[in-house]
Amino acid sequence: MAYQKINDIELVELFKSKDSQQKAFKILMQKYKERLYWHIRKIVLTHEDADDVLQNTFVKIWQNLDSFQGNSALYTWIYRIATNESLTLLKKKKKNSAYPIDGEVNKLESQLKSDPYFEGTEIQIQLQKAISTLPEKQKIIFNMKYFDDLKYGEIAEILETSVGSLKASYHHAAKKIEAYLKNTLVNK
Amino acid sequence: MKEEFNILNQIKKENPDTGFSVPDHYFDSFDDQMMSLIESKKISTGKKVVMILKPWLSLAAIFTLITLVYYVSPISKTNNQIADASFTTEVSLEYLSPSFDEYELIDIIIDNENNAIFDNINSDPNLLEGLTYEDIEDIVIF
Repeated sequence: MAYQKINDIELVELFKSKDSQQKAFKILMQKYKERLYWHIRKIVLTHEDADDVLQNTFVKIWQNLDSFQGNSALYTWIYRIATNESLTLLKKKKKNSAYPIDGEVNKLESQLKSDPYFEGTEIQIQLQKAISTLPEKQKIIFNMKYFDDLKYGEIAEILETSVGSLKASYHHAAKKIEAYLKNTLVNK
Repeated sequence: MKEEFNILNQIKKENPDTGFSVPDHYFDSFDDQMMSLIESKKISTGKKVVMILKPWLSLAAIFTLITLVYYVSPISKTNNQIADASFTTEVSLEYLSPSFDEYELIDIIIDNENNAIFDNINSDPNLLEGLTYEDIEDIVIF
């Protein structure tokens, strides 16, 4: 497809011109929407929330792309917006939730089983439950490394943190998940 | 991944994705929906710099503007406000002058017991001795 030939710098330049703004934005959506959707979905879990966050993310991109300075790669800037939007939604939901944290983990299993847009196996449900016990930042780091296979350098740029602390966080998160799964599988 | 994460390695091997799915044609229709949203809500590109930097700064600017308009614009002054102004110690002749003639102005100032200039004159009766009415006007107004 044509958009694959346009690099991010050209895309930003194209967006800055009023005549080609919509065209540039459509190219950007085609290029990033799926990757962003799956990144968001792993954080917020339901399709409805992921759809809301994806729309908010693209609204923010639309509003701010012409002032994008290029100090970081475009995709890391976009990922950062998506991550922040996802966390904002989770915060809002937590504020309004009457469930304690333990209740949330147990609720997740029934939520996933009744979700028409979840087709995972039993072990995938347990994995999601294990991930949900992690602190938000560890959860995001784990998802980006384990599912998306992003490099530590890329994750560090998106989350604006050091590679060293990321490695430590990922290792810690993976250890906790292993322990959770071991415990769950033994008791089943 | 290190050896110690056996379960995670095994899960990834058997289930490389998350198990999540999307409604049919979700991604096909997303771009058009997004463009409609932007157009219907008239979302503009290039947010105001002040709004991005400090929302409170823009609020302060709005407040300052309202204050300036209120105090500078003669249109905003009603007759009642002009009348009220005559009872303050700092009488603004600029505001009062279009509404009263010279003699009415002097009467307002002299009648006002709270007026600092008049208090000084009143406390020393000898001060007025030998002065004409025009001289008193000059003292009071200028």
